[in-house]
Amino acid sequence: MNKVSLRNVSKVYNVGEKEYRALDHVDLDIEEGKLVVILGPSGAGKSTLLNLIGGMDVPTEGEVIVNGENITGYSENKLSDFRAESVGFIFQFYNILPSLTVKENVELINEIVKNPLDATKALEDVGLLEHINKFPNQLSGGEQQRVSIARAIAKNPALLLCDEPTGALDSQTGVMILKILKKQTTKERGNNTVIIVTHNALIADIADVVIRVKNGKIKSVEENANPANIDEVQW
Amino acid sequence: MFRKKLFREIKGNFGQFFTIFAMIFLAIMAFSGISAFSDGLKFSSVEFYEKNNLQDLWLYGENFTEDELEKIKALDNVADVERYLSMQGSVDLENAEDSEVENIPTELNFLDTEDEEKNISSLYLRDGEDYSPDKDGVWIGYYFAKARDIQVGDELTFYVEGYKFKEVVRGIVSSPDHVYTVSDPTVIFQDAADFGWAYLSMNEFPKEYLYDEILKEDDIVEYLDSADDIKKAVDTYKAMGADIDFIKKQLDIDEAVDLETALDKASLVKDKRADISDKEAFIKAVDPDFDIEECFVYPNAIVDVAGVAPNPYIKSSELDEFENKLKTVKNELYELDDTLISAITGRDVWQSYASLKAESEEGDTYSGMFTILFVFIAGLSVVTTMSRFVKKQRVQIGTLKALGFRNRRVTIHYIAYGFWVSVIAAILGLAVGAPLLGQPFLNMELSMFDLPEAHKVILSKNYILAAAIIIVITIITYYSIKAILKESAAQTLRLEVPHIKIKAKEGGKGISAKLPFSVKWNLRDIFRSKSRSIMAIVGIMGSTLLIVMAFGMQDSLNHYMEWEFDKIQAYKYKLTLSENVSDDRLDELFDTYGDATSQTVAIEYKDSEGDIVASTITVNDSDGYLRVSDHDTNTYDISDGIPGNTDGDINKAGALFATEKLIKENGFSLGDKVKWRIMGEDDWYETRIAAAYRDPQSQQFSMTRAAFEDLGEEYVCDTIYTNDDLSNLTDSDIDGVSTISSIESLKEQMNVMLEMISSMIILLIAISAILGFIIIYNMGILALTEKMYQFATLKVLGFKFKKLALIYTQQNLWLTIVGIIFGLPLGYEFTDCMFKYAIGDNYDFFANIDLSTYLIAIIGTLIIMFVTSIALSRNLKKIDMVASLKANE
Repeated sequence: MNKVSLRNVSKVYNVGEKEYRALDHVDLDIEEGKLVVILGPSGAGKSTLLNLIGGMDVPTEGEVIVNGENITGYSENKLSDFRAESVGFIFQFYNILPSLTVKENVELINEIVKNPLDATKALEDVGLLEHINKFPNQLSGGEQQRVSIARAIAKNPALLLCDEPTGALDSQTGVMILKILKKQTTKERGNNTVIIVTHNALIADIADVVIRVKNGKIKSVEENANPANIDEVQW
Repeated sequence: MFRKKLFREIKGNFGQFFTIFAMIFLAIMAFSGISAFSDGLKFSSVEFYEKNNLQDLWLYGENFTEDELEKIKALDNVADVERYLSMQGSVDLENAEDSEVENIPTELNFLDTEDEEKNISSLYLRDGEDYSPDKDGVWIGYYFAKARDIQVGDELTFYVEGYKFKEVVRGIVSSPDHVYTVSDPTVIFQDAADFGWAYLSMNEFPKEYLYDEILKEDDIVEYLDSADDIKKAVDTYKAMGADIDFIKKQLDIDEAVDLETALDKASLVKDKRADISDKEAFIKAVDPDFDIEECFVYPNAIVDVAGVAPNPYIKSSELDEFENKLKTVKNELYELDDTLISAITGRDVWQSYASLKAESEEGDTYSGMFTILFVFIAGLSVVTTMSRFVKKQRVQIGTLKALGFRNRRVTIHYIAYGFWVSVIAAILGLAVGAPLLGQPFLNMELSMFDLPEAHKVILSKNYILAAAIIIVITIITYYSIKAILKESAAQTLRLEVPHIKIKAKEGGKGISAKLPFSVKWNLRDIFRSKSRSIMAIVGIMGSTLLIVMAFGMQDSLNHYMEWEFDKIQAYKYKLTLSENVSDDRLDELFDTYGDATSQTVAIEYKDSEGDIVASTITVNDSDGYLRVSDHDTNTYDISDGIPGNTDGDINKAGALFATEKLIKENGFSLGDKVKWRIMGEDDWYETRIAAAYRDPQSQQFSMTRAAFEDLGEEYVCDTIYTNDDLSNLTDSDIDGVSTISSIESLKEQMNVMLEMISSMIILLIAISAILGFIIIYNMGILALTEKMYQFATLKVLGFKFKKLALIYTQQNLWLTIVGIIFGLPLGYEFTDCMFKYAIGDNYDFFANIDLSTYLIAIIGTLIIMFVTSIALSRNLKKIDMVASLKANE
C-alpha cells in the first residue's frame, strides 16, 4: 500500500520577474514501512518535495496524497491538523525551543495531539533520560537532534520526515540518529514510513528505497534489496 | 557599497529603525516646539518691554506733586518718572448678541497733563492717532477693543465712581504694562471682552467729580452752611442801599469773590439741584483763582531706573547689578524728604509682568519633561534594536572582518545606522517642532497676552540638545557593536553561544513544571530577552504615564475649581464696594445683602532675609462665605481656625493666618513672629502666625476681624459676600458698589482656560497613543522577528494560528500590565511635579486624579496593546514555515 503518492506535482517560485521551478511534474509513490532516502545536490528540489509531503507547503499544480487522503486542497487549519496527527518532522538544525527543557519540548506535543506517547518513554527511546530537565543549549548537537526525534516520535506519526537529520552531526552521532530512525520502520514501532532528505550519498546504502532528484525531476527510484548495516556507514 | 548596505538594512528592518527615528523625532520636536513658544514669549516680551520702556518700579502715594517728581528724578539712578491716576471705572457697550447695553468694568488711567509724551510704558499704536495730553478722547486696550469691536472714532460712555462722561476713541493701543490684565485678583483667566483698560489725559477726568470733592471741603461746607445767613445779611444791606463792595467788606468777604453768583448757586448746590455748570460757577465765584488742574490728583507714579533692564531669563552679573540698583533706588525713594510714598513695588509683583513670566517659564517644565521621557525611551529603543540588529549581523560582521576590513571601518559602518537615523530625526524634529507645535501654542498664549510683534524663538539650546541626542545615540550604537568587534573573525563567524542563567537542575521542576506551556514559554522568554522586555515595559509605562497626565491635569483643574469656587469662595455673589461709600449707604447695603464682609489690606512684611515684600492681609469677617482651607482642602470659617494647624488665640493681637506655601518659602513656622506694616504707614507690627492654611491661587495672609481690631486698627470692609440672586443686576445698578462678581462667571472664565488646556491634553493623548503604538509595535516586531523560527517550528508541529496568536499576545499582555503598574503612580508624580513647578509661584496646585482617569489609562493602554498585538499576530498566519526554518539554519 502506498503511504505517499505524488501525481504530476510541480512547485514554482517567483523570484522577482523570473520563475524558478523547484519541482517539475513529479510522479512518485512511497510504500508504507519503508526507510526512504531522497538524494540530490543542493537546489535539486528534495527539501521542496519533503515540505509538500509534510503539508508545510502546497504544490503549484498536481496532487499530494498521504494515507490515501488528497491533502492538496486542505485549508490552513486542516493542514495544521494533518501535520499534528500524521507527520513528524526532524530538521538539520533541530528546531527545538530554547526556552523549554528537553522534557517540555517533547511534552509540547500534548498541546496538539490527543494520545501522544509518554514524553519520558520517547526520551528513553532516544537515550536522553538523564537529560530530561536540561535546556537545549546545555546539550550537544547529537543530543539536541535526539530531542527533536523524541518530539517527532512522541506524536506516533505514520510518516516521519527528516531534512538532513545528520547534516550538522559527526559520523558517530549521525549513525546513532540513523539507528533510531530506522527503528521507527519496524513492525514493533508500527511500520512507520521514514523519509530522509540528504545530499550525503553514503546514507543511501541503509535505505529501503533511494530516490534521486535533479533539477526538480525524479531521476530514479531504486529499491535496495539488501540495505547495509547502519554501523558500517561512515562519513 | 557600505552606503547601499546601510540603506537596504534600514529598509529591511524598517519597524525597528523607525522606532528610534520616531522617539528622537518626537523628543526634539516636543522640545523645540515647546521651547519655540516659551522662548518666543520670553524674548518677545523682553523686546517689547525694552522698546516701549516698561517701568522698573511702581510707586503708590496720596498725590505725587511736581516737586516730588523733580526730587525723584534727581536721584542718581532714576532716568525718568511719570505720574498718573488709575481708577476702576466702567464703560457702556452694546452686546453683540442681543444689542443690549452692558456695563463693562474698565481700568481708566488718567495721565499727567504735563507729560507731553508717555515715555515710560509708551503706548504701542495699533490703530488711530498717537497719544497727546492735549488731545481729548481715549486710547483703548487692543484686545478689549478687538473683543468688543470698538473702532477708532466710536464714542463711548464711561463711568468713574458713578460719574458719567463720553469720549471718542482716538487710538487702539497695546502697552507693556498691560500685556495681561484682570478685573479682579481672583480671576485666573480674563475674557478680553469682560474687562477693558484705557489711557486718557487727566484733562478728560470728569470735572463734576472734582467739583463734588471740592464741595465736600470744610471751608466750602462751612460757607454753604452759612449761605442763608449771608444772603439775609446781603439782602438787608442791599435794602439799605449798600453796594456789593461795601457789603463784602462788612461781611469780611474777599473782594475778589463774586458774591452774588456764589449765593445764587449756593442754594442750588445745597438743594442738590445744581448741575455741573452751577457747581463750576459757584466754585469759581467763591474762589476766583480756582484752577481745576490744581485739583488733579496723581496717587500713582512709575519710575524708569537708569540703564536697560537685563533679560531676566538669562542669569548674568548684569542682572544682579541691576537688582542691586533697584534696591538702592527703592531705599533712596523711601528716604526722600517730604515725599509720601506709601509703597514701592517692582516688576515681579505686577500681575501683567508676573503672569507672562510664569507662563513663559511653564514651557521649560513641559519641554524638559517631554524630552527626558522621549530621549529615555529612544535610548532604550536604540539599545535593544541595535544590539539585536548587530546580533543578526554577526556572521556578516565576521565575514567583513575575514575579508580584511579593519575594526574601525566596520565600527564606522555600524555606528552609521544609529547616527544617520538620529541625524535625520533630529533635523526633521527641529524643522517641524517650531511651526507644528510652537506656532499653535504661541497663538494660544497670544489669545491671553497682548504682546505685539510676538514671534517664535529658536535658541541654540535646541541645536545643542539635538547634537547631544545624536552623540548619545551614536555612543549607544557603538557600545552595542563593541563586544562583537573584540572577537576574532573566526569567533564572530561561529554562531553565538546563548547565555543561559537558568540552572539545568531547576528547569522544568517545582511550580514551573505545573504551569501551562504558553505561560512557561512566555515567562522564560521574558527573562531571556531582558532588554527587550524592559524596553517594552518602559515604553508602555511612558504611554500610560502620558494618558494619566493628560486626563489627570484636567481632573486636577476640575478639583481645583471645586476647591476654589465651591469650598473656599462659598458664596454666589461678591460686591466690591466703591471707595467713598458712606456709612449710611453701607448700612443699607448690609440690610439688603447681609453683613458678611472682608477687607483687603495692602501690607509689606519682612521675609526671612529681612527684605521687604509686598503682600496682602485679607481681614475676614465673612461668616463662612470666604473660607480658609486646610492642607487636605477641607474648608472652615476663619473664626474656627484650622484644626490641627492652629497655635494660640486667633482673635487676639493681630494673629496671622499664613498660607502654607508662604510659610515654607519664607522659612517661617507656625508660632513665628512676622514683622509687617500697612502700606503707607511707618509703624511695624510684629505678630504671630497663629494658623497655617492653604490657598490654591494666592500666597498671602488672612486675619480675623477681631485680631485686626485688637491691634487698634479700624476695620473698613471693601467687599460684601451674599448668596442672593443678583443675576439681573449690573455693576452700576447698586449705588456704592463698583463691581458685582458672580462665582458662576468666575467659573466660566476658568472654563475658557480649561478649554485651552484641553488642546494641550489632546496633544498629550495623541502623543501617548503614538508612543504606545510605536513601542508596542516595536516590541511586537522584535518579538516576532526573534521568535519567528520558534513560531515556525510550532506551526510545523501542528499548532494552529489561534494558539500561536494567544501565546504571542499573552506575553504582550503581561508586559503591558507591568508597564501600567509602574505608569500609573509615575503619571501621578509627573502631574504633581507639573503643577508644583510649572505654574507660577503664587499658586499652590497639586495633582488630584480621579479613579476614572486611572481606568481610562489602563483601558486605553490595553486597547492599544490588543489592537497592535492583533494586527501583528496576523503575521503569524503568514509565516512561511520553510523560509523561516531555512533562515534559522
